[in-house]
Amino acid sequence: MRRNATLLGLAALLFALGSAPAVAQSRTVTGTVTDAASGDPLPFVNVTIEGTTRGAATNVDGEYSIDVDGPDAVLVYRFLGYIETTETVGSRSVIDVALEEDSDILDEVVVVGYGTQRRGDVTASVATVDVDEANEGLVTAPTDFLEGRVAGVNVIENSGEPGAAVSVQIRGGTSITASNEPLYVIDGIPVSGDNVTPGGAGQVSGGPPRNPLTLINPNDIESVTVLKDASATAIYGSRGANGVVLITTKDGSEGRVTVDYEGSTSFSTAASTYDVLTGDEYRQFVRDNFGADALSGPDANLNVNAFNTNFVDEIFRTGTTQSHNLSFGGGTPTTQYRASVSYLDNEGIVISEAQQRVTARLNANNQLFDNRLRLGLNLTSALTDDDFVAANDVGGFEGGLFQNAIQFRPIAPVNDDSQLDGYYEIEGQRSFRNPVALANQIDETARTVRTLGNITAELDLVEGLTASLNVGGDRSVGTRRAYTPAQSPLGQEFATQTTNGGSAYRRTLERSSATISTYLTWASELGENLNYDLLGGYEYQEFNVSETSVQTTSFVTDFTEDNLLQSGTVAINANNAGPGTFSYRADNLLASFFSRANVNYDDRYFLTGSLRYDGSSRFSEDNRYALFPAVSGAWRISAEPFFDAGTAVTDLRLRAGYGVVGNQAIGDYLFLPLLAANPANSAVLNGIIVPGYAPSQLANPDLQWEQKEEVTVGLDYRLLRDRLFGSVEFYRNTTQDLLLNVPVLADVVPTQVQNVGSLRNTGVDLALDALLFENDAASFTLGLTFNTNRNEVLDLGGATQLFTGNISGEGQSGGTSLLLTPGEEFPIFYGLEFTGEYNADGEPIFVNYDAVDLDGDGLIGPLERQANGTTDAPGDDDRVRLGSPRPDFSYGVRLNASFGDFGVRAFFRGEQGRELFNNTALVYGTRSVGANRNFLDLEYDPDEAVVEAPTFSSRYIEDASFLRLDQLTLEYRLGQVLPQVRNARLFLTGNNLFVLTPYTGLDPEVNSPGASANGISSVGVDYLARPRARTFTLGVNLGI
Amino acid sequence: MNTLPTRARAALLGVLLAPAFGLAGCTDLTVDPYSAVTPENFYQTETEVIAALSPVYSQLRATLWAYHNLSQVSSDETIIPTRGGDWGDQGRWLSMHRHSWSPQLVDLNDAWTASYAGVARANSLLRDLEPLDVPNKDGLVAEIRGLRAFYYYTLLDLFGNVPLIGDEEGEYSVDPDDPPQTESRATVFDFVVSELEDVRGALPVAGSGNGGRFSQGAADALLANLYINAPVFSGTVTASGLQPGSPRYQDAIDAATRVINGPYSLNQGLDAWYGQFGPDNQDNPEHVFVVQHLAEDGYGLNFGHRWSHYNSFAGGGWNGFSTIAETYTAFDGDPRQVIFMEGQAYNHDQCDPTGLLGSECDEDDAINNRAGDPLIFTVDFPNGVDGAATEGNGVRVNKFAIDVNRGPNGNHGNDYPYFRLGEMYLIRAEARLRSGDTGGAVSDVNTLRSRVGAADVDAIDLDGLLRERLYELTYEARRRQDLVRFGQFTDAWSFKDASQGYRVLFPVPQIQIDASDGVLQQNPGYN
Repeated sequence: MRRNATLLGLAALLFALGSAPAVAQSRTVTGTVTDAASGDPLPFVNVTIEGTTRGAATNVDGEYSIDVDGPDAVLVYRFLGYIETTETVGSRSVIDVALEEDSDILDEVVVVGYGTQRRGDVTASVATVDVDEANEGLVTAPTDFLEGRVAGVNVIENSGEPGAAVSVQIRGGTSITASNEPLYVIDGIPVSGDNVTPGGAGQVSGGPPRNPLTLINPNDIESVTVLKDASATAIYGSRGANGVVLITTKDGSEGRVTVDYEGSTSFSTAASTYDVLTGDEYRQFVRDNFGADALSGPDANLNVNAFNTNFVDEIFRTGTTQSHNLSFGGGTPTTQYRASVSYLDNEGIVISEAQQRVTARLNANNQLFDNRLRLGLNLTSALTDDDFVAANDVGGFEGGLFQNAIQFRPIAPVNDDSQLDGYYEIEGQRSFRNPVALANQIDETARTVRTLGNITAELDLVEGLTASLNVGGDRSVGTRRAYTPAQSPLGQEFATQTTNGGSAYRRTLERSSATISTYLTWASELGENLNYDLLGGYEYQEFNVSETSVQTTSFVTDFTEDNLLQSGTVAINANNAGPGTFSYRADNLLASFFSRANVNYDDRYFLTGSLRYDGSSRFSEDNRYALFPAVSGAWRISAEPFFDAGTAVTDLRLRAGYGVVGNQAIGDYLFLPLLAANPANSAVLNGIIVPGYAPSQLANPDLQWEQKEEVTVGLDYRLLRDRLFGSVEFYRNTTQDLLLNVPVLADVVPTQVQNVGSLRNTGVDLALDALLFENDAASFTLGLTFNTNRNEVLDLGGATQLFTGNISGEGQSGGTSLLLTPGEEFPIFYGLEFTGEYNADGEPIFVNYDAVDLDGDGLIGPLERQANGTTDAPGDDDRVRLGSPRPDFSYGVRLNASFGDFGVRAFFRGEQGRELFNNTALVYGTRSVGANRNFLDLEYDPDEAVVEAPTFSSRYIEDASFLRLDQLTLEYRLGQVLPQVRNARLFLTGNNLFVLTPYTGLDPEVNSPGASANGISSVGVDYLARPRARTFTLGVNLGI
Repeated sequence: MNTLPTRARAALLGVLLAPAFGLAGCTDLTVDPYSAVTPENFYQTETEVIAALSPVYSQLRATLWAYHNLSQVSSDETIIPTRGGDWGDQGRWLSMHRHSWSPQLVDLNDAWTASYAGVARANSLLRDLEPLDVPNKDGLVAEIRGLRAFYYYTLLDLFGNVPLIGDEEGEYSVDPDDPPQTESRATVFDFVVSELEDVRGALPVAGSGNGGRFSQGAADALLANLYINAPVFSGTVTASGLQPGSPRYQDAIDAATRVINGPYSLNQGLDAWYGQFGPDNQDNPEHVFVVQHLAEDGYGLNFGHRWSHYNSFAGGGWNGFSTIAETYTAFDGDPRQVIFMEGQAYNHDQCDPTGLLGSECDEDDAINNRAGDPLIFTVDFPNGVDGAATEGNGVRVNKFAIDVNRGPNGNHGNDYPYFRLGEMYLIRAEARLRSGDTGGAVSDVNTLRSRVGAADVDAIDLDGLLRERLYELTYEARRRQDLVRFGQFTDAWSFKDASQGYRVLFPVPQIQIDASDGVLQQNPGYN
């Protein structure tokens, strides 16, 4: 008890230093505070005397002692998660209090756009994520929270590279060329989701965009709310089309200082890797197919030495990740703060890659004038260091790491001391590279600093009327540097007669944005049962970007790396992308007026309307502003007098909403005529370059917003005394005026962005939470999410077919795997239908189709085909629908069991009825005709003949339905293991423990970032996907 | 609770809203892109006008991809076999060689948009210049119209029936609400010819390719080509084939003679003949109309990369373009066979296999294929061309020799002569032969034969003349034109069966027909 007393004293010291000394008449009140439900004592409950700053806290046994001035004193008992309770002392000297847990979910406060709402008042489609439950194991960005935990939210990893961007889609893709990513709002500030780390140096390095949300330490997040439908997101107007994710960070709370530490170590390995021929198998393959002496030349030696190198295994490793989070917070009744630092060192599962991140955050709040003025500060900064490998496998001929890991002959060794840098490379050979050398030779890193901060002020002007101000800034600087040494095969491509080669590259990307929003809220009542509140405001945002890239090549020595760029030859690239030397800057501005009204009659009828008037500099003066209205309502059936279902139904609400939102996530200046200066516009005349400026873009003053209309009907239910609750929602959204890159006839540029076409998503979201079992010692809960979505292209502005889904790999250029056509999903797989048979020459036989005007409209659409025999020389007419990359339905299952101090949590995710194009198998599962490269084991059968050129067809469209055990956590809650310790917990989490799927590639949930073509986003193409990691994390939480 | 009456509260609300919305002054969202240039503030000096010409000229480089490939690969000069998966590219290259292309073939749209971008750039510059007073305006306008005529010539050659923009007074661009109609090939031919005849007088008389700019010689050389092809270009193509138009042989003789008598001279000797295609060929006296290149990223010629093997030089080529056996063997006995790479392959950074431009190759310079075996370029394709072709199959055309000082990404410094003096002798010889002047034809042919050290011929017929054109002009994008004009384009040759008569014209790209809302007409046979 001595220790407790010390601790109490410390706590008291911190927040009660200012307490006035007890006056003479005072007497002491003691008591015990318990949990009303369990009867357990509650430690650290704040007990204060109303109207004073004096207070005390309960000890570990829930006991407190406080001096009061007299019988009129009112004691206030506050504890997070419990309902605040007051007691007038009267004549009592012992006051025991049982605090009720604040468990009424209808009274829970939900963050919505520009404010909060009581859960029970929400009429639109708004989902919250259980952050504590989601934040288990190796979570590196808040986007991880969304995966499978919110019905209708689909997260696809484009790459497993540490820190790589993921693709988040809410209720299906709503746009073809504009972004389909939701808007992220952090502490009330809409932030740019644009990449903040510059792209790669081309050749084989580079890789996909980075995840901009790695800025936020997941442990700093208080809540994540997803606004799913247009009636909820219309308050964000032109940026609401893809949903809005509202992230609120943790604030400090009144009370003693609490310190929390979370530390973990994770071990990650590739859950599966490419299965290639062993050295012995490969030798046998070559002898069988090319004769006994086929391993001649440099390979003859390899034959003798009989190396058996698995280059796939050589490039993977067990990556160790360390994560440390330290936070502390506390405060007085008028000032609260919370500060945190985090450190993440993520090694990655591929050799020579890593990400380190340090974040720091300070949130502070102050209440003045009797809590009429509330000030807040949120400030965070993140420093991210990336170390990349040459993993850009999005096409290209020689390819990057994974391509070479598959292809490099397994009869070769990794190292060769006789070569300059110690790696074995095939003599005189530049088009296959030792993947281990490739990973280690290219030095490519990036450092990104992003700082995000905002200040809020809320002033209660008169009762019910509050003015709010939110001013925020967001600034990032990312610098990428890359050096490809001259002595590497890649660097030798830049060799000239006077230099050794090599390429050095530096690129800096700066972004900044400023936001100011002001709004007034007015809450009042019109009569006894009619409450309403109004919101009106204005917001202005400015975004700036500037980027500079310098690349020089052909150095005499590798000694200087990228430190003396001026010693090389400048490489120009005027397309503001990829490698080379270029610069650009751009601005865009948004100005908006918004308003919202909520009406609640008798807690039975709810109505919400919102209106946003948005202006964006991305459109011409005539189309700059647009109005985005929404209306939604709810009827709480269970509150009707006629409704009496006893205890079976606690709450039943019917909701409906309609809204119009926009999408302006397109490039800047698209409506203006633009001139570009680049090699394509500059002639060589008289032996010199004459710099030329030519139109790069046609003016389109008619350009305007994409508009999405959405209708949602939903039912919220709480059954069996809240043991079962959830919602069912039906939605239909239609996007019109799609921004598409449309071919123009015989003009200076071949295409122009125009508003044509429309797209529709129809679907059902289900959510269910159930408390299946509960007693004193154990509990078991189940959570379910389910979504089925049908997506349909309605119109493409007259075009009958648009292609995307570039086929990657040698000999595949110009090929596409995905089709957009009216009446079908966006998109569908489209190609030849393989019969499974071969002709006498070993060439595959396909189903032959005739193009027939089936619907008799005089035009032959891309799907109007009639089977007519077979062919071994297929043409364009033989291409048909081969499947869809979109699932029929997707689901998530959360199981949560608690036995005394032990807890088990499991999270399963799955998608059913989707296909994937296995582009990897197409290119590397087909045996090459040359005796020079390894290939995937899939097709290997030494008895069969060899020759078949890889041809995209139905045989590479695979069922990619899956069920994944995404997360399994075992925890042991030690509680107060030591008196000083508030709580302690040990946990072991496994991520991605197994996946059940018929898919033969590495992972069914991938999309190759290089597959997008013609400006149309792609989905469902697997080309040299990085294997997904399987991670085990051991960690500890400690709170004092 | 409510200390103020409702009315007062409402008034207060209004007062409080006013300053909040006062910030709403920021509703002006005008932004200027940082790199805007408008014609009014640009064309002040001759330097600036030449800079404005630059994009019209730069588009010439773009025609050396799709226009050149369609001309080459659809003829018997070039085949791109599928080697394993390499160069399979969804059958694109073999469909070009086998004449089984559809209106979806990507190269068709690439060629169309490259040439029309040239037309549109010329038109927009003509529009910008129209109200301005700039130095030497007449000469500039003639130059731009000449270039525009060249771009129409490429469209006339490939697609025949195409829309004309700029053929009417004051028309400088497409009106999207009234897309231009398809014009008949004869109309396009007449327009191109009349433009060139109209502007040639205002163009400078200058030799050695005129630094890459359009000259009177360029106009005359282009006219000579148009006239010799007049039966094709002014004819009509139906689903069954070509119905020829009227010949213009005397016009061809006259135009070719004007170039022959102009400020140009033939390269004498096989090395000088070969050198005019090499990396140091700038300002060659034989060149009439040239696309200049530099060995820098984005400014070079990639012909050297198209054929060469991955191990042919540092960085390596693309190992695609090859030649069929009968075309290679047709050169037997002609010195100009040096352009072909056959047998053991060498490293071009170390030597020149022809020995004409650099040191000859020896066994130290020999290179291996990717399996590590010696790389031998074979005349035949024993395993066919549908995937089983090996890395070494097929003889290669190294007419535009590898530039050892090339820039990155396949940018060789060789200039490309669209028209050169040598062809003028062949055009005149053919026109003379077809008009009955065999003696004149023999004389012109021997002028070209003797300068490369080939024996004179005593007589010549049309087959012989076509062969002379092959020897002289291989890989200069003339073979398709020649085979069409000589009625052999749809014949069978290696890895190609006889094709339908309408294949002498390419189809209008489907994308363009869609973009015109169906106003453009597809060429006969392709519907």
